[in-house]
Amino acid sequence: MQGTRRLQKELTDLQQSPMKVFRDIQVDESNILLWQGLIVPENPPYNKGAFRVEISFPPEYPFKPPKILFRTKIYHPNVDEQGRVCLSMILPDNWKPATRTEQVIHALVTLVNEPEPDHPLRNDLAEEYLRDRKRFMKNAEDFTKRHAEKRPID
Amino acid sequence: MSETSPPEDNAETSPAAVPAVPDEGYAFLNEEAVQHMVARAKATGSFSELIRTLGKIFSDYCALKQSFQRERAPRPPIRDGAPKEETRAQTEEDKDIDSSESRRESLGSVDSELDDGIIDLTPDIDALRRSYTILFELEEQDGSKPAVRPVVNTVPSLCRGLEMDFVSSRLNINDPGLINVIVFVMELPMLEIPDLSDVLPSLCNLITKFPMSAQARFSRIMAVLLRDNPARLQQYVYTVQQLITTRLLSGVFRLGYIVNEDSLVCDATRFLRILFAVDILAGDMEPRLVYFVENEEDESDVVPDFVLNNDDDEPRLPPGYSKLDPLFVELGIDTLDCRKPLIELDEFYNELLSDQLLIEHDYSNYREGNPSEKFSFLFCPFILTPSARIQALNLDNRIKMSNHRTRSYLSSLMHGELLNPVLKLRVRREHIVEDALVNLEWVALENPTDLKKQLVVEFDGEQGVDEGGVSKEFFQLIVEQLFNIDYGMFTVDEETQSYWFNQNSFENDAQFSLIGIILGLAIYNNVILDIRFPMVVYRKLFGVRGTYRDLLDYRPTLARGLHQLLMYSEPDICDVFDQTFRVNYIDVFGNYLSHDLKAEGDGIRVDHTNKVEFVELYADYLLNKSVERQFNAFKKGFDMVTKDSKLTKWFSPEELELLVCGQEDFDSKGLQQSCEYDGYSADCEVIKWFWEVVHEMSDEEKKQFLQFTTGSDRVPVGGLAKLRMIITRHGPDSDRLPSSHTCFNVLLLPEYSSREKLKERLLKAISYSKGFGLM
Repeated sequence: MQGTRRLQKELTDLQQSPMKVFRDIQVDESNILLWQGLIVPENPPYNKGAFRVEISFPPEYPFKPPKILFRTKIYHPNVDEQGRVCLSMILPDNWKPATRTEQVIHALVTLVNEPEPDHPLRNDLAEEYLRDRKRFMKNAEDFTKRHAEKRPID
Repeated sequence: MSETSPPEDNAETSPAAVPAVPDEGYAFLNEEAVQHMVARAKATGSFSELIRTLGKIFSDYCALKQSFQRERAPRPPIRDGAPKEETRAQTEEDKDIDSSESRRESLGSVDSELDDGIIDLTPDIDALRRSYTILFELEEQDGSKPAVRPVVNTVPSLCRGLEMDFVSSRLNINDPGLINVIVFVMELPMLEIPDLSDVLPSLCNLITKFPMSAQARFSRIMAVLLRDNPARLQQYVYTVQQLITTRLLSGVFRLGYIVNEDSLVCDATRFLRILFAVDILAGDMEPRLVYFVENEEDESDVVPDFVLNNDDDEPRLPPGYSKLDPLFVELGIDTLDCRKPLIELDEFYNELLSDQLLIEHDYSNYREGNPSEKFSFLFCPFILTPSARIQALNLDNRIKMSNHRTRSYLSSLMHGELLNPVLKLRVRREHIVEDALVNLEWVALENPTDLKKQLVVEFDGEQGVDEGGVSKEFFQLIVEQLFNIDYGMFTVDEETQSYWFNQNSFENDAQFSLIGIILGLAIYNNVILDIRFPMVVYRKLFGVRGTYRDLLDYRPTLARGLHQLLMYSEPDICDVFDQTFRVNYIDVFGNYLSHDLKAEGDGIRVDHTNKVEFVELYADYLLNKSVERQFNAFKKGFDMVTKDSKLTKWFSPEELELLVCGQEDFDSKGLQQSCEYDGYSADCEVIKWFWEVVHEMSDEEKKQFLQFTTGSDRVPVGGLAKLRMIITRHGPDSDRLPSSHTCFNVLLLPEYSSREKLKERLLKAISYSKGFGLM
């Protein structure tokens, strides 16, 4: 199986010393460029479930950044209804090839745990988050319970 | 100013604020001298000293060349750490200057002078400019300007005198003082007023009399002088353009006025050529690129025997302007070496001249090939608008393909008895590609010059005379098919939305040649095609290979990543990038493939010693090697149509793109139509303001706006309406700038309280959206 050496190595490293917040990394044997994993947030309201995300790497990785897509629906100001998320670290303008996937995942988990209502993709949720935090928390928790995956048991 | 003392001035004996007149007058000028003269003139109300001094300096080449010198000038202004020379006597300083100048003259080539800081023998333009400002602000009681007359009276005769000196070999053309003359004239304010109308022409006349080697030298020095100051070059160009335009306006109504015979316009154009060279030299120059070796073919059968000049026998030089232009040959540069000129090339277009020019007349002068006797603006094509150049190109083609074997052809041309032969193409609508292919291949094989004829298309079984509309439709249909991704010849880059050759294409070479032919035909038939290639494709059509720099346009994100590899300086480069000389890609079918940039590339790690080589090989692979077969076939087709034409000599790759694709249309109305809102609606006041502001933007600003909101300044195929921009309400009125999510074309706009504020904030935000610096 071919692949960029670095990506191969990053995968091996992650599999050998797993992250607590990003588990169950699955990579198709035929395509090392597509990863799936489960985000396990620690902060409410998202700590009631786990969220499957897909990370796709371009063949030119690490010269070009990976892309991230949520496969699990999430009630979050920074993730749109199609599951797209705007993570500044992996924007073409900001991408640094020296950035490792582990750092990208950490940034993603941080964003999930701490929404940034100042740079929303879903404006309605951002407004709710800013104006009526209680209601937001309740809606998000309900939504998480309904749509998110089960959290793995340690 | 009060701390400094003018030459020959004795500050202690003149306690008043107005400094005394130096006993013997000024031997040359500098800023303080001017300031003092102006102060005295204001104090006394008499301009006679000022007029006398200006007249003296401007008529005396030696005085002029010593004036406004930089550091080395005598009596530099006293600042912190006073220089020692100020105690010396004037006469000694004069000698000092002369000797140092003669020493500099012996320095040898300009290149080494440039590197050794030639700048110190060139005038201090800023000081000159400030001095001119205060001099030309002065007014006499009748409102006339006292500084004008001495300049008007002296400069033309100074230039004539210098010309005589040059002719009689008394003047060394490498004399550094000549740059002073150029700068002193070009910096004059109000060159366009009628009183000063003789000044600039006399300079143009003088400078263009000098041999190319001297003009090349001027270009180089001026390039150093102006390279950090595009606005100044722009102003010089504008000044010369004004001269030409004014002259044309006054000549238009004279019976029998022919631009080509107006030596003033011709000299000004030649002078403009120096500024054009400055624009290139001071631009973003790249080390000489590798050129494709062109196939030498026997062309004797296509050169009709009426050809009078020898311009088809020119030595094979690299493509581009240089092939035509003696100044560029002398400089050893080509416009293709320049990634970005200091100012835009369209600053050099003169619309009025291009309109006025009798292109047939100009072209016949061009054919005679002797610019010193019969001037043709085609020797300086940069001054003509692309549409004028296209006219000349069409004329050139028609003459070349004409089989008239009479030498009187040129005269019949002058009388407008031009043949207008056509190339007939009959195709079936449902087999348009096959039919076009077969027909055009046949023509290319049998009679390739026919490809240059005007195209007339007939759809099988359809009535209708092709007066342009039918062939337009033909081009449109065939482009739609061949560029369709499903057709498999081209891929579309997700990021830039531009086409690229499918390296795994199953199509045979003929199909790619057909595209090349279509491209060429479209140019000659003035049809705009809706195709979008990255600039590197046009550059490659000019015969240069794509390099790393081209990736920035074609694959910007990858180019940025590679740039970071090059910039990475830590010792752990191998661990961080873990890259070998094997690179990966995905083909159109989604197969994951790899390519070794070097033999056994998988075993060679990229480190600091070989990273440059890696990037160069990678770029060469992406831009050249991986699509060599497809591109060569494409270029072959293009060359069939454009062979022997001046296309690559009269146009730059950027202008070629313009000919093919037309001006990019920043259709902000289309953008508005497809725009969606989040937290706003189309009727909100702030949204209405927003669109008013956007519609008012210049194209440059619209480009910046696109860059800011979408991360790319390219208009997608199908226009801006395809962007589906989303404007999201970003809180109530505040001072923060609008921001964006370029990944999803989202603009975050606070609900500003006024239109003015919105405009100010928005323009500020888009002007901050940065470019990406190159090494």
